[in-house]
Order: sequence, then structure tokens, then C-alpha cells
Amino acid sequence: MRFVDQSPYWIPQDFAHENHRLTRISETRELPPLNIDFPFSESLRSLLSGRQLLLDEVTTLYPLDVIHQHHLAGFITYEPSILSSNSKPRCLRCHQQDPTLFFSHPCARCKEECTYCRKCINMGKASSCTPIVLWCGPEAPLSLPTEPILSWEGTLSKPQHEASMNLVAAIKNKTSLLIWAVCGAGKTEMLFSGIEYALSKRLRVCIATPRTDVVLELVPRLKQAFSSSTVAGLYGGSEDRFGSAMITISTTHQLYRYRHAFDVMIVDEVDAFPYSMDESLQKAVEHSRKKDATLIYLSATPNKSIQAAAKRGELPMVAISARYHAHPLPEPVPKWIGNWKKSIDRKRIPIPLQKWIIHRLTNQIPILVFVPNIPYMERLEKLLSTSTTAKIAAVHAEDPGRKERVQQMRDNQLALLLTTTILERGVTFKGVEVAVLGAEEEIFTESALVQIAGRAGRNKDFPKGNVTFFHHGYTKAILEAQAHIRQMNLDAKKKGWLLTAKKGT
Amino acid sequence: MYHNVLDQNRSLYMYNEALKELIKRLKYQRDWKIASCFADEMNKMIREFPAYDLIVPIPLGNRRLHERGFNQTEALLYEANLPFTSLLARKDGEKQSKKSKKERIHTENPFSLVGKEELPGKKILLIDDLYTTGTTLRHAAYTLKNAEAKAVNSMTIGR
Repeated sequence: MRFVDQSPYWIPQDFAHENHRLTRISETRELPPLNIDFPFSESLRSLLSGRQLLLDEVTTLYPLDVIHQHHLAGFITYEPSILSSNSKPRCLRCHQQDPTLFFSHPCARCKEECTYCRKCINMGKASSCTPIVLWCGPEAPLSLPTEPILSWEGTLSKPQHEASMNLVAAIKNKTSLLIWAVCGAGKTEMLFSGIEYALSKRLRVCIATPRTDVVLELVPRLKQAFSSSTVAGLYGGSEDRFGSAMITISTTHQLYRYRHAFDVMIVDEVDAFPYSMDESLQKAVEHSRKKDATLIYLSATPNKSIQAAAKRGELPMVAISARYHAHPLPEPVPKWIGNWKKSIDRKRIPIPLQKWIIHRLTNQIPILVFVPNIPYMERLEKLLSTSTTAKIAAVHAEDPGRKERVQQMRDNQLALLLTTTILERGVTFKGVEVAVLGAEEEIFTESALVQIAGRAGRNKDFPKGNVTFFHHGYTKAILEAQAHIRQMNLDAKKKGWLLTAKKGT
Repeated sequence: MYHNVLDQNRSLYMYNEALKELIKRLKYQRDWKIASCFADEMNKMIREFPAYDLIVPIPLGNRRLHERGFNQTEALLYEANLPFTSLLARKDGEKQSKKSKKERIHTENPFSLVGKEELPGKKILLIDDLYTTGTTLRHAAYTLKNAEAKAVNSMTIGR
């Protein structure tokens, strides 16, 4: 859209006189003066507070003249979504400036060459003539949930309690914190006291995760624990995209729509793809939280740079080295398998793997096998299904039947599930034992291997679960993953968090 | 009335899931760059076409054009470096993709002639993104033939 520039106001072309010069909003202006007596729209405020929506998104919900009246009263301001300085474009919504991710074309709206961002186009087109709408009137006060704020009545394990105390202190003092918690530590419950405290102080809480399945898993659990609070789940295609809630659980992508919104920002699985690889998602986390917000990192496998920040003392850290059920993490067993690719190419299941699988099939232990890529996974699936009558399936990221197959595995309808690294996180199969085929492959990084090993022994009735890394040569990642898990078990033992340690005394 | 007004149509691709996804990105996400994917194939096919004098893109109605910010058919031609002449105007109607097949076939002709180009005796190549029932192209061809165009062929990306 084009506007008439009547500084500090922008008059939309629909309301301009014919002889006025039309222009695009190309710079951020100082705020228009606020008319305190203006009868502003409460619903528009709750839509826009803490957000950065494109004008196109707002006009699907409100008529342009309502938006314009709020602008004239100083409650709404505009800024460009694409900033072009020295012909180098930058997207102010997703914060990227890679020239290959912009494109320009003659535009029927602004009658000029119009540049747009291809990176965040899935969330609506940010372009030279599409401004961002910002609320600059008084903020909506966050309401207080009714008591009891936290309706969860479970008990925390000792390590969970320690994490929980640290979290409450970090929120009180507005400091950052890394919670380094092993797989199966019970991360969600550790957050409850901290969130309860934040809500009691009318602070807005966000849990951000790179993965949609984590959002889907967390929303019902938090709704149940905080039954008098509003909880919104945001992911691509979710319903309550524009809702305003006390607790927001969002994929990192959806944070592109927020600005200075959250007092407490909890980033779950900071090391997971794509967040770890995508600088603009990291910036989205930065921009969506308030400047003085508490920033909490939560991970079983924080990456090297976060670990280093913790070591230097820049980022306070609490290590939760024991699982909720207080049994040690299963330590992976490395096993030489030779040239497994050649075996599979010759239509033979590598013998060590075959033995390992047969043993478990005969003892009716559910099996999860990680394979480094889809072609080998499919070949192995064929070989296995011709050599056993047990029910076997395979899943990968693009697989449309992925959800069903994972559910079948949960329901014990499958004896063996082959998977790519897609299932390295977030899944729990009771009593499962885990094999990694080709653990030396590059895709199996230290954190991937630690997460994979973390699939085993999660249930207190089956805390031991074997984990075997079948490899054709050791890698640094294999050794580091082993050391990592061993270190966590030692730490837990030292802190007296393990059951076996108690028995010994 | 619209029978035989279109001499022939050729399409680059059968309409399938992959093409559907690309066209969706181009038209509804408004990602102009997608149009460049088809540039080479369009040029190849157009070289094998019977001779023509003018390329005419199927236009959008004004409201739709403003919504989308560009006409996807012009974007396709623009990226393929194919010069074109905008001879047609179109009344805004219900979105084609929201109509049933029957509704599409029995709608009134939304096209009218703009442009001062002398049509009589000219051979026209119409361009559109998709050929579904052919009604849009036949309506456009009818309008052109009514103004004494000699031949009207068409090319679309998908069918």
C-alpha cells in the first residue's frame, strides 16, 4: 500500500486526496503524539500488543479506517518490513539480509519495483510496500489467573527441585539460566514453579521450541497444570495464531510475529534443527522477548557455544544429571560392524546387527534402529521383512504416515521401527532398546547420539535398555557421546541423585 | 457460441501435486520468483508453436490484481523474457478456483478489449497459468476473434 507522507502521520492512499503524492513507508518514524482520550479498541490492542504484524494481516481482521483512526490518535505506528539501505535489503520481520533470499518485481500495488523477503513468505509477504503495524498505545495489563495458579499435584524429584529453585530465582532476578537436563529428567515439570511465580507477577511467559511436535505435546500438559490461565499453542497452521495468552507455546518460526512481548522466554532444545542452524530464528527469539526479559535455555545437549558461555560464567548453569526415576542413563555400547553398506548392497543384513535384532525379537523387546539415510533404511527394511515375520516399519521426515507409525510403535503393534534421526528427540517407547547403524556417519553428531541413547530406559519399570552403536570406525562424536553420558552418570552419583548410590550406603 | 474459437492449446505439464504446490506459491503466497522456474520450458515450447504476431496474457480483474500485487501470467512472461501486449481487461468475479466445473462453463464472458492494437488479421498466442475447463481461454479467444483476430492459440503451464 502507498501513503501520503504528512509527518508524523502516514495517510493511506484510500483516504488521500487525488493530488497528493503517494509514497511507500521507507523509514521508522518517531511516534505520533498520543491522544489519551481516544476510545481505542480493546480487541485491536490485544491483537497488536507485543506483536509485529504485516498491514495485510491486520486488514483481514479490521477495516483500514479503524486502523487509521488509531494511528491518528497515536496508538498505532508503522515501520517498513523491508528496509533497503545502499540497495542492500534487510527484512525487519525475520531479520535476514542474505541477498539471495530477496527478490524484486514490478508491483501493481505500489507501481514501483518492489522487493520482498522469500525467507518468511510462508507467514505472509513482507515487501517494500507492506508496512509492519505496531501498537504504541498503553499496553494491555495482563490479568491474574485465579488461585490456585498451579493445579499440578505431582512431586518433583530432587534434581527437578533443584532446577525449579534455580529457575524461580532467575525469573525473580531477571537473569539468564541454562538448564542442562539429561533426556528423561522431566523437563516440563521443572518449569512449573517458575511459570507459577511469573504468572503471579503478571509476567508473560513463552516457551519456544524449534519443533512443532513439542508444541503439540506441551500445550495439553500446560493447560492441565495451569487450568485458570490462558495457554496458546502456535505452529504453522495452528488455529489461535493471533490470540493473546498468559502462556504462549510457540515454534521459533511463529515468533516472527512478536516483538518485545515476553517477560520470560524459555527456549527448549536450543540445539535442535533448525534453530541451531538458523541465525534468523535466534534473532526472532531475541526480538520477541522484552529487553530485560529472563532468558532460559533448556537442553539435554547444549551446543559448544552455549557450553562455553556457561564455562566462562557468562551464563549461569544448573546441571540436572539424573533422570526422574533416579536410575543412571544407559551407557551406549560401541560395536564394530565392518563395511555395513557393502553388506546391505549385497542384500545381506550385517551379522552383528542381525544377531542383536534376533535376540530382541525372540525376547519380545521393542526395537528402534537408527539409520543414517533413507535409501539404506529402505533397503534394510526390505531385507528385514523378508527374513522375519515380525512387524516392521520405517519412518522419515517426509513420510506422510509418520504419526500413525510412531503411534503403532507406542501401542506395541510393531516389533521394530527403523528411523532416520527424525526420532532422535521427543519420543518415548516403553521398554525399547536402541541400535544405531553406521554410528560413524557424519549425521550422528555427539548431540544426536546422546539424544538417541536417551530414548532407552525412560520408563521406571524398564530403566536399563541396551543401546548399541554399530560402527565402521570410531569417530570423535561417538567418543564424546560416550564421555558425555558417563560424565552425567558420575555427576548424578556424586550428588546422591541415583537409587543405586543409595543402596550402596 | 464459444465452440471452436480457440484453435489449439498446448500445456507444459500435466497438473500434478508438485505443479499445484508451485502455482500455489506463485499465486497465493505471491512469490514472484517461482515464475522463473518455467522460463526455459516456456521458451522451448513457444519456438515450436505455429507462427503468431502477438503474445497476450490472460489478465486479472483490478481487485484481484491489487490483492496479489502482480498478474502471475505476466510474471511468467516477464521471467521468460517474452515480450507481450496487454489487449484484454477483465471484470472481477468469483475466484475461478472457488467455482465448480459447471459454474465455470456457464459464466458470462468477463473479458473486454483494451489496447489500440489493430487486431484484424493478427495471429494471437494467449498465455495463462492453468487450463482447467478451458472456459477462460475460450472466453478470451471469443473476445479476440470478435474483433477479427485471424487465429487464437493458447499455451498454459499446467493442464
